[in-house]
Amino acid sequence: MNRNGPLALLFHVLFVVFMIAPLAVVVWMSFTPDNLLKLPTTTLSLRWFYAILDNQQFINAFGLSILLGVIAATFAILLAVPAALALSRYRFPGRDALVAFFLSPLIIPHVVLGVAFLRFFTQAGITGSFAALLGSHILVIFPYGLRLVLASLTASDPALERAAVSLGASNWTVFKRVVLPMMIPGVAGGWVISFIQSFDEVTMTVFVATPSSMTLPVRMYHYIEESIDPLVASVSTLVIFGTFLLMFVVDRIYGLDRMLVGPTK
Amino acid sequence: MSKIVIESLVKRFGTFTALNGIDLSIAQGEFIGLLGPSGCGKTTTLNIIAGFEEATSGRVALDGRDLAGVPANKREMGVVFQSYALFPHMTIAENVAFGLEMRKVPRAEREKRARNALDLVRLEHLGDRYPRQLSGGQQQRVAVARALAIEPSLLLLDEPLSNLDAKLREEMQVELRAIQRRVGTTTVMVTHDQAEALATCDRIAVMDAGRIVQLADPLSLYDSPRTQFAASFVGKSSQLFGEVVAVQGERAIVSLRGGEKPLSVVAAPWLAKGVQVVLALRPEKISLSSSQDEGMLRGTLISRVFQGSSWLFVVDTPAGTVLVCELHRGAPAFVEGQPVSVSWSAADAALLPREADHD
Amino acid sequence: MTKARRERAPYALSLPAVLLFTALLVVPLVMTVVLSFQNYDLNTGAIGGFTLGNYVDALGDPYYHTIFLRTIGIACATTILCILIGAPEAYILSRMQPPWRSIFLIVTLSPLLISVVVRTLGWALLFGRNGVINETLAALGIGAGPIPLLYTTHGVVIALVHVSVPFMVISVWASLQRLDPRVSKAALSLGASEAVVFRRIILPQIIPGVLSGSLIVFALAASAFATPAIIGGRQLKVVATSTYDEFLGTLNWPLGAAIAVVLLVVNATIMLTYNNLLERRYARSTR
Repeated sequence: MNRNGPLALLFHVLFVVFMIAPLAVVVWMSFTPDNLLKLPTTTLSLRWFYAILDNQQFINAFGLSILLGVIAATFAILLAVPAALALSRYRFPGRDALVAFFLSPLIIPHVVLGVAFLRFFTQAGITGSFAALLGSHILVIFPYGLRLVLASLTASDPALERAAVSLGASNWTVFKRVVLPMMIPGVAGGWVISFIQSFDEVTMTVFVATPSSMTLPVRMYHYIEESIDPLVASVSTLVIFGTFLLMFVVDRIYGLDRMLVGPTK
Repeated sequence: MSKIVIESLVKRFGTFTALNGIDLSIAQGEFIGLLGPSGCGKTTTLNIIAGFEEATSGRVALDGRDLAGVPANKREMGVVFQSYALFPHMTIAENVAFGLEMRKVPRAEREKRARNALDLVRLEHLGDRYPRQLSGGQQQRVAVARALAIEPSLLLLDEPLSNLDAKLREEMQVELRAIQRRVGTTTVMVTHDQAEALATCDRIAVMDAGRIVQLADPLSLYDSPRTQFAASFVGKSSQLFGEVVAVQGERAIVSLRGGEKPLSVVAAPWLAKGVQVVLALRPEKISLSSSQDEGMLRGTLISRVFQGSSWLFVVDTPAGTVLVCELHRGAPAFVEGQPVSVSWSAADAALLPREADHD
Repeated sequence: MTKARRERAPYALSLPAVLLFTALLVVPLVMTVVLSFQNYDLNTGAIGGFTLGNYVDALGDPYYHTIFLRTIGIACATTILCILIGAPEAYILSRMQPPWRSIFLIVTLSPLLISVVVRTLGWALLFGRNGVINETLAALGIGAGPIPLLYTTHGVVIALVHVSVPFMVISVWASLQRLDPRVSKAALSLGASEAVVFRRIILPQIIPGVLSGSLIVFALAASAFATPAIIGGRQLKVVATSTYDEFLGTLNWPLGAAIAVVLLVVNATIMLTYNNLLERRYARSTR
């Protein structure tokens, strides 16, 4: 492999600083002992983390986001697995159109989705309900789950299934003994990325959520709109560390680079 | 009685005809090769026998029983895939025992029979490993063991050796042949490698464009190809162009392009005056002479290639390029650029109708 | 029988997802388009009927002209900066030695998994009048007074570059992974210098990656909400934030719907034409 020159390395260092700086500042700031947003230089304090415990709104929003993410990701994967089987195992009329249809939430601006959901849920009379949040989140995260499950299915050798059939396995046995085990990393990875997408979603959710049903990012957004103080920095710090923890788990079960970049082959 | 009978098998994919009427009957214990270039329909034939694909028309019968409507998992056929298709999440022993498990064979017997199958391919010590821990050649043998463990009525091999390197491939050809002899399972092997087919099969079906162009044992296929395609696809051959100039009772007279003496051959119904023909010659059956007077065809030696055990000479003649192979017994007397002549015995030449697309 | 079952199977398997998409994507979008053609009354909201008035307002009003132009300008600037920063970084990453390569790839891409709100908060903390950047500059005695960053267009662009540059890196990285290293070696063996290899061999092959990355970045930047809302503030409106205001501030839903539809159509048009151009331009070279 070729080596990078000094200029390239300088560029790289600046790039990494650029990528990390805003996150580092948030984390650093959250340990301030002051009331004001100032980088702590002499002492560090956990007071703004304890302050979160007194803020019921953030705690509720966090609980809602976790619950919503878990349920939405589970539903999305349960729908994505059969769809991915259909798309990877069969060639049928309308297949390409179906792929485009299923991936379209990635292309439609989330503001537009938010507007559409707001209109739809208002007409249906379920604005701000958990069902409304859940439905909209399943739709938005579905493409992410589908892509990973699909990737794990298309990466496996179709001859494997034929081999099992030739040895006498029924369709159900082939699925249970061959397809499912091969699919598990993709399903697990797909679930995690779906959860993360649901947990992070703000642009669409800001339209759908009502004051009584705000997810954490929406709550944080509205809080920042009013004022920026160390409290929101400490909440953000928890989000950052929580995400890192999840990333570590994903790296163990699926491979983080594979999930972020997609399968290399 | 034939083990398996294939009758006028046709397979169309949309407007493309993959199989255009295949007839083949295979005897019990026979090792049959389906040989041809990619797209000739050999894999499609195998897939239809295995039950992975349905024929558009025609029938396949095993032991006199029509297989139409019998699903692949009820056909009792062992299949070895080009990619081996070993289950990556199961150990070698579990892979081999999988088919027996499907047949609800009790665990103890299952393990014993799986061990025997691994024994057959000399891998009994690797049962606890996973496929990725094995070399390509070992994986290939596991795939054979897995297919044989169910004691199939038919063994189907889809390009089984094409993922191995040349040396290992030759070893495995011998081993595959030996295993098949030992277990006696009727076997159909798809391959595009003519040397592999010649080395392993009892009979070879040469396929081209969805048809079997010749079905013969390796020796007669090599010595008497019946079409220009079979002659050029199996082994090396030189093809010389000529024309029938006269038919005199039992003999037909053929004149090669630029040939010195007309050739007299046994007449056949298709050998009418004016018919364009091709004379196919095996390189080792031609002799080369530096004298231009004695040969059947004059030419110029354009190159000589040392091949280890033999020398290959390329001679340019008016009738076409002639390849001559001679055993290596010291450096040959011929030099490149030298005028030479070639000759052969009439019995070693195959006279074939000229095919438009094989010029 | 079995054949018919086989033919029905893919439709049966994808039916649940299709039903979900029909109920929660097709129906809401159609309703939004319908809404965008309805009349609006200050007191009662959308009152039905059919009018093109909302589109006339959205496309004819200079106020919205400014917003649309600003949005496109921000998206273009973000895209260009992402190309200038992301493409070289992907190339540098691909030339790194194995352990560092995947470490830095993850460092580069993992911000994608952290909420946009959190990332934007970081920029707000850096940008403020008394933010980290200005405090540092003051402490070092550089510059004359604080540089305005928060509530400025270039502030929004910088934050958006941070949010979307990982997509450019992914896209270029993917096309770099497809390169056959032997091709570069072949060029070196034919006497090309490293620079020539980059310009004549590598660059032409990664341009499709750069272009498809630009497409993603542009679409994201043009429809971004949280970042322009927080960094841009109430004054510096873009299409997404003004749609939000029409819906949840002034409550003029038909007008908001019209703006959303325009955003959707413009976005889709740009993506499709760009995609077509890409395919036509690169169909030849891949054949």
